[in-house]
This record gives sequence, C-alpha cells and structure tokens, in this order.
Amino acid sequence: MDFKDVSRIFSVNSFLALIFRNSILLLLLSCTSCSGLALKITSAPEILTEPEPPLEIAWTYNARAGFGPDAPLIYEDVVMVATRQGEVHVIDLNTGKRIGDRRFGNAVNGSPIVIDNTVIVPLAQGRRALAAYDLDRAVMRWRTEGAPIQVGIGPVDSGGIIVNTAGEVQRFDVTTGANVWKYQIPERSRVYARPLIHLEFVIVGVDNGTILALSLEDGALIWSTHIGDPVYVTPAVHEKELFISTTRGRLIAMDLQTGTISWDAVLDDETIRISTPAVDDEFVVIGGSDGVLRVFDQHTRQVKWDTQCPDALVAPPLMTTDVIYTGSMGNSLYAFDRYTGELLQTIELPGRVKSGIGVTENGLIILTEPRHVVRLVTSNHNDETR
Amino acid sequence: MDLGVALLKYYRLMFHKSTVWGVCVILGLAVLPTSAQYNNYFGRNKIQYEDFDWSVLETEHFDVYFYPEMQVLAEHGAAFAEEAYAELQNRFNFSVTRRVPIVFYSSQLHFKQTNITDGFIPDGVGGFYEFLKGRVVIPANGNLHRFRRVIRHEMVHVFTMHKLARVFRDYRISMDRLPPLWFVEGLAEYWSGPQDYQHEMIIRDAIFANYLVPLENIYRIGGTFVMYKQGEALCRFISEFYGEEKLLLLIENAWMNRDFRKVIEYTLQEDLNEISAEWQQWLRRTYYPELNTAESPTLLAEGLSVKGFNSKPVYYQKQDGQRWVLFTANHGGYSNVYYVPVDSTYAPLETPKILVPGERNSQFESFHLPDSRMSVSQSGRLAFVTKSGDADVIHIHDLESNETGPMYSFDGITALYSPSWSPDGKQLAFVAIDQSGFIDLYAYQIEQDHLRQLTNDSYDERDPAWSPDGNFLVFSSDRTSKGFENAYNLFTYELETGKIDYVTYGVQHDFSPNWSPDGSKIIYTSTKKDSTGRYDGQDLYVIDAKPKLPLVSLASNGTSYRTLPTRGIRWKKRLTDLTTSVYDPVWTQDEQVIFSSFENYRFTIRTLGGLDTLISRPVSTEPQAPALEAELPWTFPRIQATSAMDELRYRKRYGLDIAQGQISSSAVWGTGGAAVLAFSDLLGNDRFFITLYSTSQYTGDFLRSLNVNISRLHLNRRANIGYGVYRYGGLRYDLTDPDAPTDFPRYWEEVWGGYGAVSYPISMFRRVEVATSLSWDHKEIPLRRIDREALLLTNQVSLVHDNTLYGSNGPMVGWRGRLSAAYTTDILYSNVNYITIEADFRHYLRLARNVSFASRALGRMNHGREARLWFMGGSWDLRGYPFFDVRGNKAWFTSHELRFPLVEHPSVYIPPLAILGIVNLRSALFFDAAHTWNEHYHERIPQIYAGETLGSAGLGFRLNLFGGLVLRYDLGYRFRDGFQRREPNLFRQFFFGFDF
Repeated sequence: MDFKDVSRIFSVNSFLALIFRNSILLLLLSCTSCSGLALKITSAPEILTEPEPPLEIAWTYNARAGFGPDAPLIYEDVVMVATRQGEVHVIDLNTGKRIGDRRFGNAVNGSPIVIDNTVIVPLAQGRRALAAYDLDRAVMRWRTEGAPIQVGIGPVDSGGIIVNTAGEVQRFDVTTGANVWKYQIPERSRVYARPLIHLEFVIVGVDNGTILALSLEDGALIWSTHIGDPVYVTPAVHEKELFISTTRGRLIAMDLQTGTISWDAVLDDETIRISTPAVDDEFVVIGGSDGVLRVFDQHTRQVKWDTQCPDALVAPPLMTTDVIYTGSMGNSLYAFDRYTGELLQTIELPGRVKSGIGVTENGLIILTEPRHVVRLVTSNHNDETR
Repeated sequence: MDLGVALLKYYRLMFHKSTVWGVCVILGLAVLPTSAQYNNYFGRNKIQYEDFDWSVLETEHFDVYFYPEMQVLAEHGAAFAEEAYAELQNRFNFSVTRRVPIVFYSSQLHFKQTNITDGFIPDGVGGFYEFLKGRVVIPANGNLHRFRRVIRHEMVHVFTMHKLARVFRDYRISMDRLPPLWFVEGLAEYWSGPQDYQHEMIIRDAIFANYLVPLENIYRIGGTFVMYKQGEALCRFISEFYGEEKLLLLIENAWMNRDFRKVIEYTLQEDLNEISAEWQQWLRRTYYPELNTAESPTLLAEGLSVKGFNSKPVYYQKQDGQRWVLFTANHGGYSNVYYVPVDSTYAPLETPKILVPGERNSQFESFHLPDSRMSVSQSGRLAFVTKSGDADVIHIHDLESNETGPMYSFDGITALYSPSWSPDGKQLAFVAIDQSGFIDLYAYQIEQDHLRQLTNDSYDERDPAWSPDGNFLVFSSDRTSKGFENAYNLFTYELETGKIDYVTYGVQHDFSPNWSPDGSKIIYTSTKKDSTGRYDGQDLYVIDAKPKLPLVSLASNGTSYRTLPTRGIRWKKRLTDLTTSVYDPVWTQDEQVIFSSFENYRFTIRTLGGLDTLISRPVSTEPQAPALEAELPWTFPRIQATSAMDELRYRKRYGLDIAQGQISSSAVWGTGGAAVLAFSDLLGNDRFFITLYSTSQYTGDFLRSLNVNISRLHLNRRANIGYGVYRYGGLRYDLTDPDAPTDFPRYWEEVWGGYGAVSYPISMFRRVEVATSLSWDHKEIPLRRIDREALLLTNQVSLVHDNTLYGSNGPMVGWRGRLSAAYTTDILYSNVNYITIEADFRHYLRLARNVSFASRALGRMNHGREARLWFMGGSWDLRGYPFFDVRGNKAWFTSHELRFPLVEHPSVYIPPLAILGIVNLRSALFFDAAHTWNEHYHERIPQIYAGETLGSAGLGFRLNLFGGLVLRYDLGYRFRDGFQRREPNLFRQFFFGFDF
C-alpha cells in the first residue's frame, strides 16, 4: 500500500468518525426535547406585598427563543412562558431554575392558558391550531386542526376563547377541544390581539377598526362599533368602561354595555402606536412608540403627566398602588411615581421588552429579548422569597 | 455587467444601495469596470486621493463620521438622521439598540474613495447600508433635500434589517428569509418621503409604455431603477389599499415562509395574482385619465439620437454652415461626447458619431451624464466636464479644428457641473461643490485665470446660463422662500451688482433654464404637484426674461402718495403637456428647440420646430409675480458638535469582518482544516488577515504541517501598502517546481518569511506594483534525493493597465496588459537564482452591442537556476489540453475569440429560467496556440508537452448563472506539431469561469 492509499483510508476513517460523533450529538439533542413535563399547577394567592423600587434582578432564565406580546403566566410557585420556537417552559418562581419544558412543534405567539392542570397552547403555524397537554400525566391530551392562532387564548370556565387567522372567534371546551360556538369576523379582516373576556362579554379588536362585543355564552354579536383606526393590541377594561388603543395615535374609551364611545384622545402624530392601556380607578396609562408614557386622569380625561423615555414603549405598562412600570425597546424597565411622574428607577435588562409584565409577590416577571425571563424583586426583600 | 445586476449583486453581498439619481441608473449601462484594489493581476484602481482627517460626532443614536471641512454638512446630516429615527421608531414600533455608524462624504468624488465597500461605486449611487458592521455610507451632492432623503432611505434599511434580525432571532430562524429587493428598496423609498418627480416619471412611463412588471414577475427586474420605483408604488398601494400597518406586518411575518409571495398572501389575505391585478388597476385608474390631454414626446418631436442613453444637447452652426447637435451619451459601453449633423429643418443627416471618446483614459475618466450640461461658445468651443483624477475638470474642445484642450481645474473644488460660456467667450460660469459639500455658483475669467465665487450658502444651485447680453446668469435654485418645501425656482444673477432676483416663483421644480437667442425669453422645464400630491409631466415652459407689465400701486401715507416697490409681472407660458418628461431645452436661432426626453425607459435627443407658434398658442399662460412678502432665509436644523475637534477625532477600533472555518479531505492532500479571520477598522482603511491551515496527515504532524499567514493592508492613502509574515510547511503538490517529479510533483517543504508590497495607482487605469519577500526555504524531495535549504530574496515590479468594461460573462471592450519583471535569488547558499519576465496583453474589440472579438498574447520566462515552471492547459487558456499539463520555464500563448450571444435574457421568453438563475447563453468561436520550452525551443519533453507548438480551435458555450457563475463547455480539435497535425477526435471540456 503506498502512501496515497493510506491517505485515502485515513480520510475515510476521519469522515466516518465525524458522522458518528455528529449522530451521537443529534441523538442527545433530540432526547433533550423529548422530556415529559408533569407538575401540579396551583393558582397564585392574592398579592400581599407589591413590588417597590428599588428593584434588582433576582434571576434570569434562558428560554432559548423570543416571546409574544402577552404576559407570562404566574402561579403559586412557577412561571410559565411560551416561546416563538414552540416551547412551553415552566420555571421555578423562587430559583429561576427550569422545572420542565415541552416542545409543541410550531411557533407559539400568544399566551397559553392552564385549566384543570391542562395547558392549552395556541399554535401560530401549520395545520394544528390548539394543543392540550395534561400536566398530571405528562401526555398530550388532544390537538385540534384548523387555521393557526397568532394571538393568546382568552381564558373562561372550562375552556377558552381563541381567534384564528381565518377570522373565526371560537369558544372551545377544555375536555375535548370541541367548539362550543363560533363567530366569523368580516372577510379580509384579522385579529392581532388576544380577545378580552369580561363579565358576559368577549371583546375583540379587529384590524379594520371595528370593536366587536360577543356574548360569552353563545357567541352572538352584542354590539359592534367602528372606530376607524386599526386595533392591534388587546383592549383593557375597568368596571364598565373599555379602553382601546389604536395603531394611529388614538386612545378610545367606550361603554362596555353599548359600545358607545365616551371619550377619544387623539395624539398629535398619527403614526404613534399605542400599547395596551393599564387602567385602574384613577388613571389610564399608555406607552407609545414615540417613547412617551402618558398618564390620563380617568375623571378629567386629561393627560395628568407624561414623560419621554429614550426608546419606544411597546409593552403594556403596569400600575401598582404607588408605581407605574414600563418596559422599553431600549432594554430598560422604568419605574415612575404614579402621581408625580418622577423617575424612581431605571433597570437595565438583557434585551428589549415588548411583552406584558407579570406581577408576583414583591416582584415582577419580565420577558425580554432575545430569550430571557427575568425576575425582579425589591432590593431589601427577604432572600428566602427569592 | 448590467448596472441592475450589479446592484442586485451588491444586495446579495450585504449592501443596500439607494439609487437616488435615478436617471443615471436608467442609463442601463451594459458594462461596468471591475475593481482591482485587491486583485493584483488586472483591474482598475480605486484611488484614495484624499487623506481624510476623520472625526466622530456622537448623537443620541448615531456615530457620525465626517472630516472637518464638511462639519456643517455633517451636523445637518446628524439632525436628519435623528429626525428620521424618531419617525421610523413609530413606523416600525421598534428601537434600534445599537449605535449606528454613519459615514458622510461631502461629494460623490470623495464617496467613490471609500474603503467600506471594496467595489467601485458608479455615479448615481446615493448611499448604501452595509449590514455586516451596520454601517451607513452617504455622500452629499449639494442638495440638502436629497441628502435628507437618502439618509431617511438608509435609515429605513437600518430599521428593516434590525427588525428582521429580531424577528428571526425570536423564532430561531436563520437570516436567509430576507424579503426580496423590491420590497426592501420599495419600502425605503416609500418611507423616506412623498413620491418625487422621478418616481412619477418612471411609473407614468411604465404604465403608458406598457412595461410595468406585474407583482408576480417583479423578480425579473431585480435591482433595476424600475424595480425601486415599482417597489415604492407597491408599498404605497399596500398602504392605501390594505392599511399602512400591513407593511410592518410583512416584515414581522417574514419568518413564516421562505417564499415571500406566501408571506404577502398570508398578510394581505389575498391571492398574489389578485393583489397584482388590483395594484395595476389602481395605477391605471390613477394615470390613464391623463392620456385624455397629454401627448407623448415621441409623437410631438423628431428624434435626433434615439439609441442608448442621450442627454444634455447643445447646438452649434459651424463656420462652413454645417449644423451640429452635440450631446453626451452612452450607446452601450463607454460614455462619449457625440455629434449629429442636421439639415436646416434639423433632420439628422447621419447617425451620431463620437466626437470625444470618454472613460478610456485618466483625462476623461467619467462624464456626469445626467447632471452636467455642456456649452458651446460663439466661436465653436465646446465646454464640458469630466472627472479627471481627484476632481472634476472643464475640458474645451474646438469644434472648428476638432482639437481638445485646454483643461481647467480649480483648487478646493471637487465636483463641477454645467459650464456656460459668456457671450464673449472669455468667461465660464458653472456650479461646483467645494470640500464643505455645499454647491455654489462660480464664474471663471479664463485669460486672467481668476475664479470668482458668486454665491456662498447652503442652497442648491443648478444649470447656470449666461444671457446673450452678458449681464445676467439665469439658474435654478432652491433658494426660493418655498425651498423648504423642496421647490426649485429660476433666478437671475446680475454680474455687475451681484443681485439675485426671482424669475419664477411657486412650489414647483423649475430646471434647466436657457435663453432665447435674442435674450428676451427663457426656456426651461417645470413640473409641479397636482391636488393629489403627484407630480405631473415635466414640460417645456417659456417665461419673459424681464418683467413686461410692471404693476404700479399707489398707497396713501396720509400726506402724500408714493409708489410701492414692485417687481412687475413676467408671463409664463406652458408649451407642452407631456406624458413623461423633457430635459435641458436649447433654443436655436431657427426657432427650434432641442431637448432630451424620457419615454419608453429611454432618454433620447429630440427636436421640435415652430417654437414661435408654440409660444403664440401655449397650453396655458399665467402671470408670474413674485410675492412681496418678507423672504427669510431658510435652512435645515443641525446638531452642532460641542466638543473640540481633538476630542472628536476618529480613533481606530478593529472589528471582525470574516471568521470562517473549513475542513477538507483529499486523496492527494489528505485531511486539512483551515480558518480565516479578517479584521478591519470602521472605515475599512486598515485590515488584518489571518489564515491558518494544516495539511497534517496525523496528530503528531499537526504543527509541522501548520501554515500561518498574517497580513496587514493600509488602504487609506493613494499608495496601498501591504506586509505580512508567513510560515508554510507540509507536503506540497507543486507543478511549477522544477525539481519535483514530473508525474507526481509532491514533496515536503517548509518556508518562513515575510513580504512587503506597494501598489501605486498612476491613474484609474494604470498602476505600478512593487513587491519584495524574504524567506527561508527548506525542501525535501526523497524520490530525487534532494534536500536543500535556501534564503530566498524576491523582488518584483509590475506595470498594469486596464480600461476594459465588463459584460455579464467577461470583458467586452477596451484593453488591459501587465508587464512584470522579477528576480529571485538565494542570498545564503546560491541554490536558487533566476529572473522572471512576463507580459500579458488582452484586447477587446466591440463589433456590436453584444458581440466582441477578444485577443490575448502572453509571453513568460523564468530563466536561471531552479527556475520555476509555467503551466497551461484547460478551459482558461490552452483549451483541449488537460489542466496544468503543458509546462515549461518559458512559454508563449495566444488566444482569439469571437464572442456572441445565443439567447439574451432567456427568462423573458421562459420565465422559470429566471428562478434557475439563468442570465444568458452565449457562444464563442475560439483559436488558441501555445509553446512551452525549457532550455531549447524545440527540445521536446513529451510528459509536459514542452518543445512543441500546440493549438486548438472550436466552439464554446457559456451559461451565466445568477450573474456570478459562468459555466463553460468547449468542443473543438487539438492541433499538434506546429499545427501540422490535427488530432482526429473532437475534444469536449467543461468547466467554469469568466472569459479572459
């Protein structure tokens, strides 16, 4: 055998070894995504101690992909997030360690829900629409086929409300995934935000500038109001008043029962996109793509105060008793005094914030780009609760 | 290479360029030169004439790079960038979290020197965004409105790419689903401002001439200027028909499918063909009503030159009575000054002829075809502008003697446009950009060699024309009080007093003024927006040179009457109502008007008679009375640098350009691994290259067979300097080594060394290269029992010339040559000692637009001790013979090809071929001949074909894929023994590569 042959054999052997090594690696990788996910989800108790600045980062969790616009689900001792890579992660609220994860095959853009210890996931692509996973037995409970669902699920007793890309608003049953009722929105219209469930209403904002109020019971149209501007974010509600943000610089308040517009705030620049409002007895708070946080007085309907942040405010703000929090597209979370607008704290985060903020006992859960779940806690808080 | 293809290639290679001077792109230049800054064999030179002293202005979101001479302009640019950022943050609902570097140049000529992109930047590129390092590079051109728009255009790219990167990262999808170029550029155009008159001109013409490409086939015009404008029209249609939000959704949904057409269908919830049909209907509904009244330039006026791109006509009647119309044009290939003789009715007497050949030498490097007018003095001296070296110059060509010269250039002036003779032929007026980047009006007294700057401000001035009485200049400018709204009006400059007066007034674009022969009127072009915000056709207008009916108003001050100041009224007459646009009208003594016009995607020179009749029966007449309102100067905002220049000074920071690894396996070479790293500073002036590879056969051999090369290139000065160190070791397979076995030239060698090289460009077309290297060399050839060491010193000098223009498959016209001499010696042991001489000349004769005859002559010699062998064979030189099999110390070679097209643009006939990337199918009849030898010319060495004249002849086929890969298939006969014997079998050879 001359050296040419030796060279060839050596090359072939090297190549085979490479294939072998890669195969092992692939096997290991595929096994990591096969893990079952079994746990008992318990609703979180009422929050007794609200977070207060100064806050600090307690832990950061790498979820391996980005998140949709909805806030994370928070239970007694776990945080649940769905990623755009199609995974649902369950994280220990105290330690930030992974309890488990489950891949659902296709991207998840909207927030899942958990009912009867079954997590129901809306799938944003492919032929599957919903997947229900039994957390007791760690098995897939059912799947439904249909148009993909790009938005989060509105939770109701024994089921949920979805809106798919075919423009169907559906109520499904948690045991089988079967349709309870269905409402078809007008052709060539689409819904880009999770439906709002309040009292006996299902409120849906449509991109053709229409707000629909459907009966939670049977899906019948209760009222429909055309506001003229597209709606791309979930409305907010406080008691009997509904607050709608548009993509064209308008905040509209309307009566929940009738759909009558009660007031309409129009910003100077109609290219400003407004976030989902945060509402309570006193204030309506919105973030804007222009980076301005605007606080409206519920009673006077005037801007009580506003403040310019360096970057766009896409995520819905969060109001507590004393503080307004807003995450920015500039990798920061800002905390303002809710009455004066004074900046209390700026917290640097791993990435942009474009999802809703979750509240825990004495802390916040923030979803940030590129793939991180961050828990913030009050700095002087007892370490045990971290 | 088609310019559109070039732009597409840039896009694929990570650059987004905005073509702003659209008309330039419409040139449809068939060919482009190749860059040679890093190609050390042939290629033109990208010369860094200026040693810019860079500074950095930090704003909230940007690092603005500029040089001190253009600080004011850079401060405007910084404000424009921040203004665009604030607006786009809303449109994208997104913030860019990294600081964006923006590099400004004060003129196109400076911009062309940038090292941020390696290739040549043709005229008409308004800027580019490079997303490897996220750099935005933009030149000014004297027009702040345009500067602002280009900045906004590039900012849209910045936001688009950051947003896309975010979307793909969120969904964990690789960045290979970029939207098509029509969408990316169309969106940038659409979101950079309202539609401009060029957009309207293109879309209007595309609809009327029926070349609008439907959405489903828009990939066919990828990279062309039409694509930019159709993309903009599509984005406007989507916004108005489906909603502005859908544009952003198209980006946010890009992750959903690799095929962007599916993304469109999903986002707009409609079938692509339906969307396309609705878009076309929408456009037709918009534009078709205009056809009721508007007339096409082709029907209105006779053509004088209708082939290729033609612009900037002037007229001259020679002393012998001949009438000439002269213009600058590109009829495919080089741009030239042309003339066409016409009769008394201005009918062309013959086809246009070249008067001054351009773009072949450093004197006439390039014409500013769509930007710079020409002028003829009464004595027949033609003044025109070309780029020559580091600045624009004015050339004078005597039309009576047909001699070119003299040439005028001015210190501190970089760009020059539109010279105009004074009536006595002693002065030239023109507009020019100095180092600051602002354009102003100048007058040059030739005999006194005195340059006078007439204006000094930030307004844009264009197209001065000297009045027949010599007292005034008329010019177009945005200095009007409506200038902030991007209006251009006509003004006169009184040379005696320096007083500037309005001629026209209003929110419109008044361009290209010229005087009537008697000086009583001014002819010009104008276009304005209608009530829908769209510009109408660009028409011919005539206006009185002086107010004819002064208004006398009386007012009472309580005690006596006084006359209020007034500027009187000029009567403005619209002469045409055209479907598209006319440019640069010239009023001849025979009441003819000569102009260039755009129609059917072509610029032509046309003539229209009966100007007096047109004036007496105009389309419309209106008085033009400048308002007496206070005319405050306007300007754009600036972000002023507050720090001292020393603090702003640019400091080099190196960033990674390339990191690439590779593993290979070969029967001859064994298994090898390689890594390449490249670093450069932000301006691309200083570059490091690190190459590592190993050809080891086993682990213990790794270090012994490790090859390392570390090089550094300095590109910021005229002379490019490179140096580096290297270590090569391991088994080599070297056909050129004279000691290696002929059949299987494999041996072990270890080399340690360093090198230095300087490339000095004499001009854009010619350079001198000097290189030296010193290396310690250890060679072992066991089969021949050779084990020798040498300390090799090699010095080389080369002279390179290249003025060729490329077609899609290779050079089409021009010539290039390389002359090299080198001396290699072993300064320690005298084991090696030989000289090298090489001459390689290639000439390309263009016979028709796509047919050329290419010839090549090559002579090579290595003579001395251990002189290396040259090799030939294969598809790239001596066809029909195996690759590298023809070898010898000395060689000559000649090759001749007739290159012609078989199928041009086959995708027009069979659209799926475009998806397969088939650009063209061409053919070549070829003839090759070569002879290699060692000691004696006829001493035969059969193993390497030495000592024998070889040849081949046959036919080749060339298939161009994606504009960058040419597949070659040759078949023919081989000739041996000095062409005395033809081998009986037809050879067939398949390979790839561009034509020589």
